Amino acid sequence: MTDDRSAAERYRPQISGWLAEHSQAGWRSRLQASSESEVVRFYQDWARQLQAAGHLVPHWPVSFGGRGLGFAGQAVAQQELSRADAPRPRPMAISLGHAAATLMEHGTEEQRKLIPRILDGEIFCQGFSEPEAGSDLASLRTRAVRRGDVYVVDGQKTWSSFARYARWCLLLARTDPAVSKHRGITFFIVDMLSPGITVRPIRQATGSWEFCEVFFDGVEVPVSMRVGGEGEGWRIAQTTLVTERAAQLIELTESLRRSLDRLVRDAACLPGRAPGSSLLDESYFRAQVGALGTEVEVLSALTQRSLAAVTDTGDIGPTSSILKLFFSELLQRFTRVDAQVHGMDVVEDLGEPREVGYLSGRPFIDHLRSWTWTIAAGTSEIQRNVIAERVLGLPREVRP
Amino acid sequence: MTSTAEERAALADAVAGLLADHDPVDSLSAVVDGPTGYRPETWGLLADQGLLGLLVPESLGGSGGCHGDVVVVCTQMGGVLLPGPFISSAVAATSALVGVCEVTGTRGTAAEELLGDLVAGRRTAALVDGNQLTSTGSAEQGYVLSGTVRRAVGAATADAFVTTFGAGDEVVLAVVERSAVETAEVRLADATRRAADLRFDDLAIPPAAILAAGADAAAVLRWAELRIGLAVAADSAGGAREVLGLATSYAGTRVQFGRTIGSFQAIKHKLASMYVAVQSSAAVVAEAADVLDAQAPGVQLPGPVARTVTAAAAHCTSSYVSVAGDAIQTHGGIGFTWEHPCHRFFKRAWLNQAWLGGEAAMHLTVADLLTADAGLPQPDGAPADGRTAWSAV
Repeated sequence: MTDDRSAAERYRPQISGWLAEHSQAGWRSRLQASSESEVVRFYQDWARQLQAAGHLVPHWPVSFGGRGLGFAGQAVAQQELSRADAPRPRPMAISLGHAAATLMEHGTEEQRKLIPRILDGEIFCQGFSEPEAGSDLASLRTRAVRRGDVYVVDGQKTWSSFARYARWCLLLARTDPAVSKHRGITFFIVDMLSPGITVRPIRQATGSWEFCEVFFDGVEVPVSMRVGGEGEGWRIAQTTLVTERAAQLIELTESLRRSLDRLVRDAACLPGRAPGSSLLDESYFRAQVGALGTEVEVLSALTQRSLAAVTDTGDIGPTSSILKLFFSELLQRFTRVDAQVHGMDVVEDLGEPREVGYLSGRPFIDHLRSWTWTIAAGTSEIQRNVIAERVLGLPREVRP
Repeated sequence: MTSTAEERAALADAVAGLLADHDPVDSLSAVVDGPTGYRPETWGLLADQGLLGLLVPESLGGSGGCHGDVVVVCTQMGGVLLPGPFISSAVAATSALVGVCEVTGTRGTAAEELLGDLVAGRRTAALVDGNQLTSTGSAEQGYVLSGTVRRAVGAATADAFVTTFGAGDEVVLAVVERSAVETAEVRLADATRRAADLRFDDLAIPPAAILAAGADAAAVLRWAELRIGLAVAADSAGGAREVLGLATSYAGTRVQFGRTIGSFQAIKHKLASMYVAVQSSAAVVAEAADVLDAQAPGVQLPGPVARTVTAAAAHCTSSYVSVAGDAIQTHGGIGFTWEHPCHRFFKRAWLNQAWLGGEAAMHLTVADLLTADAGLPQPDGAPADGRTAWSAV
């Protein structure tokens, strides 16, 4: 572990130096003036530039195109990207995270040929949730029926981010309706250009069209694109999902730290009640800032120590539930304070947001968007169930 | 030199073994009602194991532990609500005396003599904040102190007081024997700690009793303060973990409506939130210890160090207050009885938080340190040197 950390620290000046030379100053306002497809292309281009310089996936093994720096290297890269306020290729979050981790861990040689395409900017979307299978994901009903060399897929998926731009879909589908629900699920990689797929964007509360519904109507998926065996889909999805989610928190912790610093500077320029004073002089506000600063320190300690433990044991388990809960609820409190200080400025409609980060610098939109963190990938309520049942050993929910 | 994870686990086991008969459920009320409020035999065992000299370098006769060790020990003690002056004497007063020896480099002085007694368990001391006392005199001729220090934690049973007071613009640190001041015990809601009001009645402080003054004294106090914050935070993290354990096992056995109450989401979610508070407390207090261990002793501590330690103190004490309250709620009526230990955890939690100046003061200090790091001007009244919320306890 210590070796990992020191190797990662030796890498730090390389990425910080490169970022200084390749500043993307003004990228947020440029994106705001672009169309959504231009935004996606911008992120794809930026991902290619990062990869050409070796900074997109420094944590990946060298054999897959990374630098072999592990979690520690990922933390360093995220810290430096955050410090430089560089764009993060969010539309590729699934490709670079969950898809890549699944391919590396469970993919066949043929399936792993998709990894270079991920590094070239191809987008993966997730076909997990369904209209009737949200928190109760394992009740999903999309069917995959084996017919010779293919599976025929029928069903409907939802909340699939960037599916309109995706070339591939990570799909969970039921192959065996006879066994209990977790055991009949299989994991596939589906080519989004296959006949029978329809994608319909959903407008979100923020006004943007990031989510999509995806309809599968007799879609043929080659057997060679099944990941793992039939019935192993649930386990495969879980193992890589939690690891990737935790890794994402490194980035978000750094962003939060920077945003707090920005909030403090903003507040120093906003008026206080006494003539000539600033909002930062008001002790109620200072105490709020101190409370948030305290929690950011705690989140940082929690994230670093939990991920160090993951590096040592290779197993994240319920830790990811703790991290996600702590982060998402802190993000919600932080963005609320951030939005409240700006008065009427904050409630003006500036049009649908193009930037898709969680702390974009538009406080009201960021606050509204914080609900995607308390809902997506297991709601806060589901996380509390996981902690209560798997860590504290309390009786399980009734599962019919 | 910091200890390894294996060494810390062994230390935790050793302390747990030593404190095994200090079960807050069974034995506490008899002990705290005794004359000193703690068991002298236990204090002797702590001395024998080198735990009273944990923060004292080997060159000064201690066991040369690191801050990570302090967290391990205080977490265990917090878990059993160990009565006695460990934090006020073995952390607060001891840290100040170690700092004096390190900064001034003197040997055979009053500081070293008292330190030897504290490490051996022959005497106990408290660090007393006398900033409200009036002082006249000078370093050369000595000072005369008058006034009252209210509710000094650990002072009721201490044999000596390491006292700070202001003289002009300077801060001075001196040793005052118990017999020299009038002490009146103040009963605390947390009966495991004993406090006293100290009356200084034109008390003469001879030059020989002065341990440090000016920048030296300020640096010594800063270290001592952060170590107090760390120890109280660890005590809180340990207490919160223990009381969560009580609530969890109760929820797993108590049956209502034909089900264990722990099968209801209202209870499950409460316990899960308590668990997040407990885990995050453990993480941030361990981080604070690492940050302190990375500093050379005696140096002027940089702002980010104080920020992490203050954040740990604020988060651990607030979490303990919440978790102890939620534990009472989880237990229902039985948790509100005198016989049940929940109220003892609750009272320790509140003392810990108040001892460190309260939640708002700690948050304001974190804000001061954040804005200072951002290079922004401090508002009127904010301490220019970013002192801790609990100043010199």
